[in-house]
Amino acid sequence: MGMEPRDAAWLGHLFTAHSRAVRAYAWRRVHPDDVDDIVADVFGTAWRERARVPTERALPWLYRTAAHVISHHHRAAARRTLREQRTAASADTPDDTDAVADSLLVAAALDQLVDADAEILRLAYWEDLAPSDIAMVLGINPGSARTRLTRARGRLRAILDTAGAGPPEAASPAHLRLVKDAS
Amino acid sequence: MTTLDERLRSADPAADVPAYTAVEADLLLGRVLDAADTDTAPARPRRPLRCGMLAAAALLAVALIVFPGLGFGREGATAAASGVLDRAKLAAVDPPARAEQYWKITTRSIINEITGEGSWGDPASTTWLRHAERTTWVAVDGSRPTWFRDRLGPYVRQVSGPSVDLPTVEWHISDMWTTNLPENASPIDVRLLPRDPGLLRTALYALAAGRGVSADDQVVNDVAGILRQGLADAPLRAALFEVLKTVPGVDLVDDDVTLDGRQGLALGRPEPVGGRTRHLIFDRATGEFIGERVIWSTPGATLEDAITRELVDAVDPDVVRDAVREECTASFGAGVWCRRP
Repeated sequence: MGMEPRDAAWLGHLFTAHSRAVRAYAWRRVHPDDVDDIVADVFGTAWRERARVPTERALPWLYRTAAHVISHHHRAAARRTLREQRTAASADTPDDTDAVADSLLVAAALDQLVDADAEILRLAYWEDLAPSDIAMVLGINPGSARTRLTRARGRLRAILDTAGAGPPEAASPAHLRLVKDAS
Repeated sequence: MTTLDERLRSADPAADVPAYTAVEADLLLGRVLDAADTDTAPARPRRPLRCGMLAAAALLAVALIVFPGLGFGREGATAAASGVLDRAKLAAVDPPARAEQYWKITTRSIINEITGEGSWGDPASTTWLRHAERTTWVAVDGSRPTWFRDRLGPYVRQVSGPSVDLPTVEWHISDMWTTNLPENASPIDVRLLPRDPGLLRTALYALAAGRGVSADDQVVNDVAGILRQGLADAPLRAALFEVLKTVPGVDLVDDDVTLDGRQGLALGRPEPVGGRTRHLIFDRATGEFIGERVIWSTPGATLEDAITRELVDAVDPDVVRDAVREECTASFGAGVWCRRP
């Protein structure tokens, strides 16, 4: 069977299928004001390089492209984003203080990891990628992805355990302030 | 007990990020395709961007609700440009049409053609200017499919790249197609645009928000795009010319233009945007809108579209016989996307 024609209709279907995921990927890593620019850049790259977009695993390819776009153009914005999102999350869900507090602790723990460990955890748990797809995004082999994921998970657990972060009970207002100030 | 996996997933800051709405999707995809067009070259014979008819309608409705007070009163076009636009408004007249007829819209163009991997003006690629023509048959009552015929003609000159002999070609049909859609789909559905100039201005500025280098520049581009389709009826054309009179910076930039053999006057915003300047051309004798040109400073080249519109009783028989029928489907709620079977 021949390859699907890479025309405007193909781009429309690609956008329909994956734009929400790419938007969420960008949301996790850059300032909200920059999200749509990232998404436009990613799909613009897909359009320019449409012959290279894999048919079966387009989403990991789009994530990898998004990573390049963000690393090249939006590094500074990325640093301030999670902090602002955490603040917004705590303000938006006043009735779920425990869950918000635990999310803040987990996010703070992620910040304490080296970038490579934090990123592989984000890809696994937030982008919900299998190790083979993580490998494609990061440009490593699947075996390395599995190993790094296991190690990163262990390091995160160690940080959370060291912090004594049993989720709800550790989330005192003092902890919340500390997390915000530190980030 | 909450596991580490669950805690990690719960910490996702984007868990509630919504999918793009149809309107947002259309605007973003429009940006993508516009950027690609700008990065590489102005469009070849332009096919309508087949998305967003209903999305544009929804955006328009929002615009009219959110910005009902926008209107005239700001600094607008120069007096010279306003004079040209006043004449164009008077010349905007359509003959009486019967429902079963078609508008036959012919666009004669100077387009660019690129060979090689590079982009427009890239020394590594070879770029030509050549003649092209698109004929579109649009049902007057909007209830039947639209038909298209593209023809390519001789080369005009080489623009960039290693010097080679100009290819010799005669006019020939390059494509003919129709769709399974009951009616034409276009980026901005002209039927939904207000004919009242104040409301139309409000709508166009709302549609332009966040696009292009400035709202004023984008409105001029959108007006040109609407006129280029050839689908705007006389009241809408007249209202578009009224809107242009209110856009700051619109000026008479050239009073001696030749477009497809007709002498014309060129209106536009003087400063180039993205290395190009767009001019709307009006017949010097009759005042009618006759087309547009886009002047690229790098490489030095001018692309043209001369547009005529006439009433006919039927689509040309060779087009009906040989056209490819594209299959179109709705996508992300409101957009319409087509592919060849």
